[in-house]
Amino acid sequence: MRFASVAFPLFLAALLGLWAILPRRARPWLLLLASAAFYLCAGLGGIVFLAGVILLSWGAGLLLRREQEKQKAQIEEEAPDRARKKEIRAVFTRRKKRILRCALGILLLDLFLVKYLDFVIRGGASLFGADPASFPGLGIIVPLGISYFTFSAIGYLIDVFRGTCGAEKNPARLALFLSFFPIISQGPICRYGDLSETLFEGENLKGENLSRGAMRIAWGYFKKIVLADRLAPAIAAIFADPSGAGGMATAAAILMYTFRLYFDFTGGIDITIGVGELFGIRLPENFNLPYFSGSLKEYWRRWHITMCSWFRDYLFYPVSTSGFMTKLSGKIRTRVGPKAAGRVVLYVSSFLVWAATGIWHGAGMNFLVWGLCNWAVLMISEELEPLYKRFHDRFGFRGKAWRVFMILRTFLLVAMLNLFDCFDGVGGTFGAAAALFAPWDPGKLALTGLEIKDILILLFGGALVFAVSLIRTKVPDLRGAIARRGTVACWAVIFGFTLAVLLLGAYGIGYDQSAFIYNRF
Amino acid sequence: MEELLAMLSDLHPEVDFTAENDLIGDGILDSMDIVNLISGIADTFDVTITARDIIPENFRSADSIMALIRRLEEEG
Repeated sequence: MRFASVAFPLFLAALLGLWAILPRRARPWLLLLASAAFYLCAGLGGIVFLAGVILLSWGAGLLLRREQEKQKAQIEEEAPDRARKKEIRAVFTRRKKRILRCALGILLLDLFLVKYLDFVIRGGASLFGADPASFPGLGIIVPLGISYFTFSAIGYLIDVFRGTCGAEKNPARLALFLSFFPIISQGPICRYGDLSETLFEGENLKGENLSRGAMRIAWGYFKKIVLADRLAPAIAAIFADPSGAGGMATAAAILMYTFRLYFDFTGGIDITIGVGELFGIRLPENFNLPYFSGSLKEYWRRWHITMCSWFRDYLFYPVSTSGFMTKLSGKIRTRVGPKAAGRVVLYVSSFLVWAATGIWHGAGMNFLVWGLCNWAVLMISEELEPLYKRFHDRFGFRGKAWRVFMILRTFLLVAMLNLFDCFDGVGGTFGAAAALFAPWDPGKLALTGLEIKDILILLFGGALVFAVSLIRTKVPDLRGAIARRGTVACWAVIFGFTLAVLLLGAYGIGYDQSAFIYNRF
Repeated sequence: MEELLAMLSDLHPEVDFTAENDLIGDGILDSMDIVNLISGIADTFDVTITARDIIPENFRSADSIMALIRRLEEEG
């Protein structure tokens, strides 16, 4: 079942009806059943896999908890001095590390086998001179949302290991956390400690939550069905043959793809967060006006926030503070100096993070290259920071016009990097980039297949999204401001956007309720 | 404390670290700054900050970073 299918609003309505009549303590069970039903629609194999991940996480969490309790009991029993206490802690930390490594190893191996084995075999075949295209693949069906629930499970286990959240004794609660239907297909990637605050509450339906949630859902559908899905066939038409389409049409498709990605992903997350709000469940924000970023570094603080913070907390920091890195930086510090040591730690750790971020997005060389291009730009920017500063001090470029220039520059950079996402291989991306230098023929824009009506809807809709974004820079809680104007204002917004989706949605011949782009990650 | 303030000022000379109370929330320290800071702290104070210590509460202000260093010194 997809968010953009007719079945989803009906599913949601039935769920709200049952939620209202069930007692509070039964409601989390209802959510679990609904999540299982939602997931079953994606196939039986997937749910078996998901159940395995849930059981493994639950069992490993309990083992970690048992070691923590034993450590506490031994310290209380012995009442040791500081040295002995340190010794006891070290023994139990080693034990807990073994449990954690074992569980994470299984989770990552599962992810590798299901999602990446074909890619590795094809890569290996091409290394030995065979044609990778001749390998038919293992035919493994990738379970829906595998990257999201695997990463959530890894985060949960590391948090239990670190003691930042307690191990969950009830497997059903952990199952709900890992399978919660709004988040399973495209995130946001949640932390157990945060989500568990509201996920199991079974809060009564409230007018405020319903109107806020419905506003967010309607806005999300507007961005997805009216704007993103209208752009999708136009982009596909150009990217089918960029060299034939020429420079102007390819440039237009690159820009359209960047907007589509934004409408699609933020629209999907709006629907997700809105669904959570209907039930009084607070989900983390995943975006903070990313296309208003003045640099790539800032962009990655504002785009897919939960994924970035996951990589930061569970990969970047552990790698950069690991024993290996400490030794390496120690050697460099004594031989070259402290600044060089800091740089090496930063370069190596962030290289690993960006390679992993690329591969997380998909099993393909294009995603790896995309990740490493991001890394290269970020590191070059870091190195040039003193130069930028001297430039600004000398010429004083700091005003609003400069900020707008920086935003446009960052937007174009992101658009070019996103090109790696549009083609199966790196070759296709470079082919499209090369097509930018082909003759710019405005007549080729007709290849997009967009009619005047489509262009007007896209311009008006895009302007509306831009205006809302600008307002949100001054009024972050825009829905709160609308709610304060009264119930009529809230429901006018909901009704208006629902009507827009029904009347202006990109339906028609060939419409296939396009899956969200981030579903495939 | 002076050594820590000097390290922080090296990273962001424009910030008054004695007055700032939300270095993470205000976006002053990012992950790259924190890695550089940890490297400097290891050199100066001879303590190892591990990934589990890198939580916003420990890096909210110069005082909270100093409290973390003192705690790690005590734990040996």
